[in-house]
Amino acid sequence: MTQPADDLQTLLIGAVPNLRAFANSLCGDPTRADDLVQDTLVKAWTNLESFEKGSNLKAWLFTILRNTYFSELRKRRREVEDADNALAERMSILPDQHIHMDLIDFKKAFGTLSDDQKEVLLLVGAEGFSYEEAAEITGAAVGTVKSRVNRARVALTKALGLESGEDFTSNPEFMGLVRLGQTAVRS
Amino acid sequence: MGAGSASKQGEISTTQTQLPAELQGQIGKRLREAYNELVSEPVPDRFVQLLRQLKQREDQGRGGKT
Repeated sequence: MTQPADDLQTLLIGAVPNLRAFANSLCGDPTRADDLVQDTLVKAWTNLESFEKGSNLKAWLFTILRNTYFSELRKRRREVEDADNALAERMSILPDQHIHMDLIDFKKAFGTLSDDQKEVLLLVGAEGFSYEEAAEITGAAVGTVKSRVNRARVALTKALGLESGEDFTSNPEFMGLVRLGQTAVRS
Repeated sequence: MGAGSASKQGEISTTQTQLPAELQGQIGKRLREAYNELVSEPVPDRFVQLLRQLKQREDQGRGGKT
């Protein structure tokens, strides 16, 4: 039996908005993001036999996209810094004029995260993938994903100036810093 | 949820700051707002065209065999 290509076409088109949002948030360059999505669609279409029937198509597509992105990034090491700078720009320049200031601040803060942190935060926090799915997509251990998500959240909170000191008192590392600070004040 | 949930991965969480649920909620909300804005952008025609071409090429390949 041949595979129902019409359905595949529909499914792939249906996934494009999310693939584009993910690619855009990750690479920060709309043109490059669309090229990434195009590469992903072509690879998905031509490697359909490697997709396990019954598994999560969206997760598979996200895997292809992020693998394409990171292997390109490795190839173009020298451009990494430019790309990182562009990330913050893309997230902050959006045509919508009704965006609340909060959201602009958020996009700037998001731009300060590392690629690893962005990736897992987008997968888990924005796309709603489980930690296990995100681990499979990124090829990292579940514990690593959880720890990256947490670190990304903490970094965002700090960048946004949202932290309220009292909430960190249970953290030994933080309290260590506080004690260090107190000693410094006294001496 | 909360107190007990993170205790299982001691080696991961002990050295980390765990954000309070309220802050996590705020961060998550803003992230989804920013992200959904991107998701709601209309799909450029190039992707519809691309998939049509891929489908056509496949149909032609199959047609050649029969």
